[in-house]
Amino acid sequence: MTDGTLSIRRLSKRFGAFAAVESLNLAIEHGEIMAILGPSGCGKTTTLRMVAGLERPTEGGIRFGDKHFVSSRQRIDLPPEQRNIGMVFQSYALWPHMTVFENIAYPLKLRSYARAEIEVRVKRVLELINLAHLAERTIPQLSGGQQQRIALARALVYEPSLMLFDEPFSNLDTQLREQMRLELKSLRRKVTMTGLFVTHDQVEALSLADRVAIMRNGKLEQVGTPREVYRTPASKFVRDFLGRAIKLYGHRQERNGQYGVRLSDEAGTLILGQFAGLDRPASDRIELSIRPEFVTWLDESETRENCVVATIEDLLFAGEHCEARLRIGSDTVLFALPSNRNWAEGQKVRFHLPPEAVSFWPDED
Amino acid sequence: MSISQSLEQDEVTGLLKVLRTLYLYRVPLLVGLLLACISFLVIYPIVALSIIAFLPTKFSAFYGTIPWHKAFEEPGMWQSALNTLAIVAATQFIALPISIFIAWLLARTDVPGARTFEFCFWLMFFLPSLGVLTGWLLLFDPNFGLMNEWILALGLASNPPFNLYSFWGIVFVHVTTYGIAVKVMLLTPAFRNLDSAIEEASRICGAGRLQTLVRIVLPLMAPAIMVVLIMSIIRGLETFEIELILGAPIKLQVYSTKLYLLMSDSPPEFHAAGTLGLSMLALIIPLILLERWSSTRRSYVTVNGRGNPASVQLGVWRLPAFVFLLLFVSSISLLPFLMLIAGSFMTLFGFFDLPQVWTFAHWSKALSDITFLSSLNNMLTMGFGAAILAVVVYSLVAYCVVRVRTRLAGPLDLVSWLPICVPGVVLSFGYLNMSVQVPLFAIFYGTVWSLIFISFLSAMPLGVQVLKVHMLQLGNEIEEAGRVVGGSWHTTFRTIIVPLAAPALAVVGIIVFASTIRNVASVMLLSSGNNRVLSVLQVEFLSSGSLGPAAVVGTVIMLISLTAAILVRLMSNRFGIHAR
Repeated sequence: MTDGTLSIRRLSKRFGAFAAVESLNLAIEHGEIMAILGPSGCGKTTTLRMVAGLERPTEGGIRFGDKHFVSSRQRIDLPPEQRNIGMVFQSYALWPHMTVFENIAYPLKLRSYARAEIEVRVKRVLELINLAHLAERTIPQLSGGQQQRIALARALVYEPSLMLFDEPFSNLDTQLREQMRLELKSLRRKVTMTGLFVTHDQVEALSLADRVAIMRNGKLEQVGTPREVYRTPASKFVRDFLGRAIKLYGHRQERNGQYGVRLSDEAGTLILGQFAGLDRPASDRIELSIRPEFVTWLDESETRENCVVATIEDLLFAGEHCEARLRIGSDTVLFALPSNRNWAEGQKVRFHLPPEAVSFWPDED
Repeated sequence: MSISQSLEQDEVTGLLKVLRTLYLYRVPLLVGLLLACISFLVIYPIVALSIIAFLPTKFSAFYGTIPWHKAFEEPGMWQSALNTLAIVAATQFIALPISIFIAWLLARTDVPGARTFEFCFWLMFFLPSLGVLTGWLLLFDPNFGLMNEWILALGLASNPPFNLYSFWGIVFVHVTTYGIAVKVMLLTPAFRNLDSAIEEASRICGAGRLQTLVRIVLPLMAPAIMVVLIMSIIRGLETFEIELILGAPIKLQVYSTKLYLLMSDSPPEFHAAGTLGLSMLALIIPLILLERWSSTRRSYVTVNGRGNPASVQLGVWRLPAFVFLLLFVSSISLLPFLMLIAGSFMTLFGFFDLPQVWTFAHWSKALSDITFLSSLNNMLTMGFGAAILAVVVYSLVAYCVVRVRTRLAGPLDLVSWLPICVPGVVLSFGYLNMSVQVPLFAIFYGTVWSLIFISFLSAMPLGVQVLKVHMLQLGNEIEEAGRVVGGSWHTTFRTIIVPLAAPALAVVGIIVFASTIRNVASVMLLSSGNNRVLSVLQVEFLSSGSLGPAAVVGTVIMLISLTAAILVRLMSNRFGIHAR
């Protein structure tokens, strides 16, 4: 694979008055896998298709190494077949009139490889994905997971300099999806891959990518490693999109030079934590949030700083956890309680919020 | 006293039992009755054909002088078979590549106005071929055709270059009527259903537009193209009226016209005609089976609406492609249509250099002519009669096939589809025999009723298909819900199925009407004198060279057909019916 950085500069795509992608800047280093994550309609697939050459940008440029893929200023637009990229489609897009072997051999034939060389390469890539025994099958005879891996093999076989994945696992069931994630992870140890993949599944993005770019309404919200974006989200949108967060509301307080939030419960509990993003929000109303896995449950007798007492209003047993609606003063929050204890409606519960895991956000609405 | 009373009691309870059994089994009984009636109507003409063909000649001189085993020794029999095949081959050879190209343009590229063009091809499918033929005569007649005159006037040729009364003239009319329109109509949706990712994957792998078309798209479309080709060949084998008009002056016979000619002899040659009809069936049935086989074999085309279907950007070719389509569509549909209308207003058809070129004479004469008016009346009676009969019976058949769980559903489905194997001329020949052999049907001979029956039968495969698809789309649960809340079977059918299916029923009715009034092949042998219809009158005018009146009749049929086509389209769009 040739060495190269994919750089996307001021990329825009407008359909009439609607801006699907708005002045996007993104760089992917050689050997790095970047995930673009976002809800449907955020422009992530359009971005990927522009990198592939399947969609022409309204403005901006995409460069790979020293090769311009597309540049509105220099009036360059390489057709997809001249970009030497590999792509795995959401629907796999395997050709049903060809066998597995023919599907994978097609890009090699187009590159005029010798017959013997084609045989060797196809065999090698089929062994890589553990499907060597299926070479002569036709596509409709394969399961979804197998088709998915064949699509991957077809994209890998000609060693393209850049790999693109368009929601690669979205057509698989949950169990298969987990298995494919592990397989792709182990494949990365065998093959150096520079890649860009698009998904709306945060688990997929966090577990597979070296860095994650979160998009919303055609714009980037945040780019960072999975841990960075999960632990220190730059916006409420990123925070809520990446996972569950428990939210409580209160007023800003200052104590010994440290900021805290006073809840509106009867005890007027004071919670310490950090401001997310901004140093100090302008407004006095604060939204306090914490990822549920950082919450610890206390016995009724225990008292500590940053402790909240709540009443269970409704309780739904859901197997591995209990969905509960807790009342804290005038607020109610939805909360997943661990199901290894016997909770009851009306019960008072006490939990601890570690200050380093609590973040404060301006409560604007 | 008490004994006789109890006997009566027994009789009454016996009768009640019978009635109750009948009532219990009313659904299978209904299906059985339908199956019996339709089987008889469909199968008997074919059986009658065989009986007639193989009857020894001395058995009855009434059935003709040529015994079946000598039929093919008759002059012109083999030639007619060869002509049929040559015309079909030439037509498909020209029409198929053009149709594939147009369907690809309409479905896979960003050519402007694709949907409108598609609609035009759909309208073309409804154009009666005799009307189109009359329009073309004004341009390509060897004696007065405008094209010929212009080319002679420009000094580009010393003899008239075009002659519609020729082998290639016949092929030309075939190509411009059913040849291209039907294929485009069927192939465009097939091309459109192709997942665009399939093409994009090929581009990513390193193939250009053309390579992708040749190596991926066309092989994927091969099964669909095959089915469409076989269907067109079958239709080509059945055509009749184009050859009847254009072939007669140059003594060019095809299968169907030869059969008609044998029956027009006096005495009619039943044996020879029967033999010819049977050999035609023998040719068509394998093709039908092939078509059924290849359409069920495996479908590559995944119905996946994902992505932008206009996956090929034409770039600089966008405008040329648009101009090509515009010229092509208007020259094969609008042009003959305008010529036909113009012809109906000309003093002498095709002569633009008379002192008085234009006249209303043909129209005013036609509108006061008793033959024209009675033919119009017969045509409308036939059209509406067939449409009403069709809607009632087809909906019952479709319902029984799709919904009622009975072993008779399979045979009923098969029988309703069987008429597709029988060419119109053969079907009407079979009916002619039936009226000779079965006294009940002798009553109908020479009446509009015989035409209603035959039109009802010829439209059955298509009509039942449309309704079946529609009922499958409605789904089982709608009806089950009706039953669950307490409606009986016939209440549910009347209050839920019929109202929901009403738009589809109307569409089918109009389609039957439109295909009935332009049909020549199925009614030609059965329609004369009292029950003559307009299409037959048009044939008579065209054969006798009365082109002005023929143009008037052609215009009337064409306008009614177009109105019907537009009605069908409006209703299908509104109610989401797939009237294909």
